Amino acid sequence: MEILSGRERSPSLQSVQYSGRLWMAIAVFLAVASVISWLWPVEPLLAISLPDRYLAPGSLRSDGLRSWLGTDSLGRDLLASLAVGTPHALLIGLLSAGASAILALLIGVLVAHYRDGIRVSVRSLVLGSLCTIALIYGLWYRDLHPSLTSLCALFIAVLLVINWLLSRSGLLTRTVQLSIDHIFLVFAEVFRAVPALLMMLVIVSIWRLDQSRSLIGLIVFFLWVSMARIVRAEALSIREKDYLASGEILGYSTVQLIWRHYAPNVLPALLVAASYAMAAAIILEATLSFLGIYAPQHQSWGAQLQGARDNIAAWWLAVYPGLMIFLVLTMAQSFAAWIRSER
Amino acid sequence: MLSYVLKRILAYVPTLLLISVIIFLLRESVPGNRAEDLLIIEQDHTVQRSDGTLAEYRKEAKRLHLDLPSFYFSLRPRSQAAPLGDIYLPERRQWYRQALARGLQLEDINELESELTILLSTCKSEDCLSYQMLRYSRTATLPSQVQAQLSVRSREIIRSMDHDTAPVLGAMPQLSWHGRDNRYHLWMSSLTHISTVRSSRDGRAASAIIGTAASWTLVIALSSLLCGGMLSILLAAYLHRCEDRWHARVVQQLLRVIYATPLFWGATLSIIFLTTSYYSKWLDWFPAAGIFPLLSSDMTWSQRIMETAPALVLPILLLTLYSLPYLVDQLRQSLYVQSRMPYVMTARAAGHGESSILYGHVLPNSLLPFLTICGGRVAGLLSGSLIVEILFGIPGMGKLLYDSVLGRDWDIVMLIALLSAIITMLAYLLTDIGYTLANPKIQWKS
Repeated sequence: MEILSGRERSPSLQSVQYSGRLWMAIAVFLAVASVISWLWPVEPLLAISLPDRYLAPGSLRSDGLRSWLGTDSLGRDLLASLAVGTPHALLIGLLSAGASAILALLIGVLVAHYRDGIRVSVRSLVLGSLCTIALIYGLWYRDLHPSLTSLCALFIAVLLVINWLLSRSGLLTRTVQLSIDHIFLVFAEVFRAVPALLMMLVIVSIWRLDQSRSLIGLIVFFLWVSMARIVRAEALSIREKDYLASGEILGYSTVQLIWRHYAPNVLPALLVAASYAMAAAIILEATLSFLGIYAPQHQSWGAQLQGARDNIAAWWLAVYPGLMIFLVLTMAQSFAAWIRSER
Repeated sequence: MLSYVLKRILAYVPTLLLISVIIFLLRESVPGNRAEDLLIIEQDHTVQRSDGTLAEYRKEAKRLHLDLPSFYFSLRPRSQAAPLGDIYLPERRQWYRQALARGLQLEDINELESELTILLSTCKSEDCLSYQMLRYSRTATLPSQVQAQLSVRSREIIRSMDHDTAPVLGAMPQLSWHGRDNRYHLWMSSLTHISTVRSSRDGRAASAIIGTAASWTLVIALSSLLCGGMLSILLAAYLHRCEDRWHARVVQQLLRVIYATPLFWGATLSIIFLTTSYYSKWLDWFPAAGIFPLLSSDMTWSQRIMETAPALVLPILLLTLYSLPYLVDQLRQSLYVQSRMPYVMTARAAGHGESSILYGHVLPNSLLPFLTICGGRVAGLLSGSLIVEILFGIPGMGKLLYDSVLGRDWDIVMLIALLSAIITMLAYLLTDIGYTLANPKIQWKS
């Protein structure tokens, strides 16, 4: 069949021969830029100096230094801004991708492994949900009623004792099939229906988020579901493999199965998804800063690009920050291609 | 077929309800009080407010249903059963809540409040501050000569506020059912006659604003989806046939570059270099961005199209390029899978040429999954058209959302968020139906 169809390679595997070198080169460049931005004293170059507004690339600043990539509307040096933006963007991209990858790995594998559902006794289901409600209630109203903290602790302790007694007495042993796969799919459907950028714009402006960590949390919240879908699809095929069945016969626990069988085999697909997630996170952050919705930190390449909207004569403000984002996205893309070719 | 469609629609109902609850919760989590925001408070918080403001506030709060519970049921401490929506100012609401938590009755607190209000209207300036303090925090102590002017009951209340212990009974949870008189239900029913929802910025009816905006967004998104779909079929077939030729490699690299170009960067670059003659008069290809032609109502359709088409070319082109690499990649993978099917071997053995196999068998079979992929792009296209609309000044849904967010016009924002979810799900539904129509093998399975 191979001979007849005349093709051996899948279309995504093309021109991978240099993508390995490409992403490594860009990664080294970005790492060097980050290190330089820490070692090099950039603060004076990023100070606002109005005489140096919109200097073209290569011209002399009023303090005698040469501005290699020009300055923005407040006289801040673009090269220094780009250097400062590198660790900022990498941090947001890597942290978001890493956190969503871990979340997606755990949930995607668990959902696939327990595809037929888990048997839960009615007792633990009822008592567990009561415990959760009590915990949330106690935390929510603890300012108004300081006595609630101890009351809730008491209530949960009573529930645990009841649980123990019931498990001993053999009452309420009926079990139900809890299909976590189904719950996950409904959840994924909800996430598929909302445009992420649109919802992030609304949420960031409602809660007036201005911290990198809250933005990373929000990006993870919107990214992990699609990654978990990929992991789930991958894990579902692993689930049918013989080595998994033999692992189960050997008495491996679920944790061991995940660690020994699922995680290593899901990893290539997860890495590919994570590299695209990193690209998506950086684009989301840059877009929100560019639109001025996310607190306009000058560190973000998106915020630096925004200056080009005010003055079309300052082409360098449009070209260079965008070029940095372009480089990061190219790195993510070629990294994904490299992983695909390596596996 | 009809029953399949109905079942499919029914399957989307719970998802849509869940999304509506999430959007409602977002709406409720907006910091501050909507009625107070509307009154545009500029008064100094330590100065006694006129009765007029309070009456105005009560009227607004009533209109916005702030005096109603927020959902069908609630789980609250017994002491906090009252919604307190008609109490003016957040500090006072907090004071009320704490007083209630200390076991006081709502009538008693109201009485103390009115007594304090009367005292405040006649007090000397140095006492005013301590009255005000008492109203907003429970720890303030009043000078004894001032306390003497209060009634015995009020003095008791103030004394009980100084105790730091709240009765345990009041902390017990109370599950109450509110029926249909709640804000979520009223919000959802207001969506059925949407013209009653008004923008808080200019007072226009939401149905009018969002209707025109949505039509612009749909025009942009659908035409770019159509262009992108057709272009990607052409490109994918071309790349499939001659993937090892040098020009195919160039096209591939070009697609990679397009993928790695964020939409807002591409749009900014094209606005700067392609819409003005600042850099070169040879590059002034498109009309200036940000100025959108105004349409009058007596124009015919053809006139409207002639008027706006030049301004829409570049945005649609950018959006098309934005989804192109993904679509081409997906279609090529599905072409690849199809080209390894046994029927291709049969066709080859029967002596069909490569192009007749591709266009007669492989491509038609790959188009089915491609349809779903195109439908799945709608959510991405709504996000993309947000950027393009803002940058090019097109009065679509994205621009309206952006302006409403900046103007803190949350009613409109939430409507747009809900509408975009509905549009996305409608796209999924349509592709599902199209998929079934084209391929009767697929049957509905629960």
